Amino acid sequence: MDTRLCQHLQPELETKKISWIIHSSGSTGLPKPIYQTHNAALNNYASNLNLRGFITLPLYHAHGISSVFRSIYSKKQIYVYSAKLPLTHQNLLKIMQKYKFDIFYGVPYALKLLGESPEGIAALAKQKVVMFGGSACPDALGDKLVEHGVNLISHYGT
Amino acid sequence: MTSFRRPGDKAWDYVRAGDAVKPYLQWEERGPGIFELVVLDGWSSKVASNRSDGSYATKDLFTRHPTIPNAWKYFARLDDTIVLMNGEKVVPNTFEHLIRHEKLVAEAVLFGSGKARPGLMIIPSEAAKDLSADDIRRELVPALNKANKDMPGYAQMTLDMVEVLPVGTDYPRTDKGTVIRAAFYRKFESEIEKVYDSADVPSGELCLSESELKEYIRAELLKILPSPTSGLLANDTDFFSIGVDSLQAIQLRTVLSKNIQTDKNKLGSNIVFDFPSINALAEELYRMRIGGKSNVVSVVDKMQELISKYSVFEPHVAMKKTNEGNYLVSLKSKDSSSNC
Repeated sequence: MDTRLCQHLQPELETKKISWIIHSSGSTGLPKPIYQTHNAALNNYASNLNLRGFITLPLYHAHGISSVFRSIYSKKQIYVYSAKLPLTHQNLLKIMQKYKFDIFYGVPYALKLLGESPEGIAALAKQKVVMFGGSACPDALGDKLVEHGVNLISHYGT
Repeated sequence: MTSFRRPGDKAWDYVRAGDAVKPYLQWEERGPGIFELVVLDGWSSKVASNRSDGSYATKDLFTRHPTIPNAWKYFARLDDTIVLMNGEKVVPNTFEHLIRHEKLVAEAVLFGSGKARPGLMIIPSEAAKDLSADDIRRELVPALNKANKDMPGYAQMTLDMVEVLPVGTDYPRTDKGTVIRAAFYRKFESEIEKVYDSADVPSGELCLSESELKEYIRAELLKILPSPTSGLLANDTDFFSIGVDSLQAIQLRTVLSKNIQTDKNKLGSNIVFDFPSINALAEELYRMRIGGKSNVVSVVDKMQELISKYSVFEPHVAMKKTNEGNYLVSLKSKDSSSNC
């Protein structure tokens, strides 16, 4: 039996259509639209790590939204940090102690907050992968985390 | 690209290109040891190009790992944008131009990539050769104030972040005399680190009681907050709830770190949001000086506090009727068929 529900669509054409548009931040002029085709997006999601995740990145960033779709693609849960809460050491720590994840996604600022206490570092060290993107991580902070057993992974591009 | 690597490889900040993408990446040297990443046409998730051959020059600069092959560390943006630790971006050019215009200044370079806030490196001109660094800083205040007007809130330059190098310091520049930014940051890396270290040393000498601390915090906050917000500031008001933003939180932390004696204990970088009211912050600062266990967040206490705060109901007092006469009250219903 063929379970395809979209017989009227031609895959070759559909993959070239736009799935989402994200805008550059506008730091070097006006924000510019970046068009993401279905083909590019799916290739991007396919490169997932197949891990249950916790994300502190906003979803209006390409890295944030890609991570969410990667989790859907890999059928693994992803927990999203509430944008209504301020990003603090205590809030992050409570969540990480209460739930179990394999991968943590964040900007270096979130790593810095957690890196300020031994409990925060321990919570990061428990993850299989701690992935950061968005900006460079200060050397001293990264060195300290790696020294304490954090599997710190830098992510360039989305 | 990510920095996934073999166990034992400590180069966490060096990203490696996977086999799939590697044929589509080209590294073009832009300065000694500094390469721009160019993504070639054909890579399936590339959606834009800015060159006629269909490739995309990222304007991202990288340096190569000294020993590990195919491992690259992000260095800076080609177009000079400085990305702060929280991801906010600072375009330094206009600011630097205004400061460079001063006759005491030969060169001014803004820095702060990966840091909480930007700083400024000054190389004084010959005209400043008889002045001390502090004198030069003082002379530059009006120019800094003017230049700050064009900068976003998170990038405001404060005097403690201005570092003055000796007159005649040699720095990397092009034939035209303009600074080579990437090389400049590399050369003055340790000076830049020093600026951040000394700005962050708890140097306060004010030994205040808890109630004095509350007054102090309130006074400082009133200087930082815009007046509509400051009207809402009670001792138990949650800072986040009245819209205190991350920049204001950093400003307050800086003032506290500089002035309040905390027995050499460093203030947490997010102390303002971890102790998000005048009461909580005063208590924590007091504890840091006196010692004892940090009373981080007691949910029960917080709830108790909210209950007592919102359990006070003022009874309604009817106004005296001043206008004699007849009134007609008309009720209108949207749905005419209902019986209301």
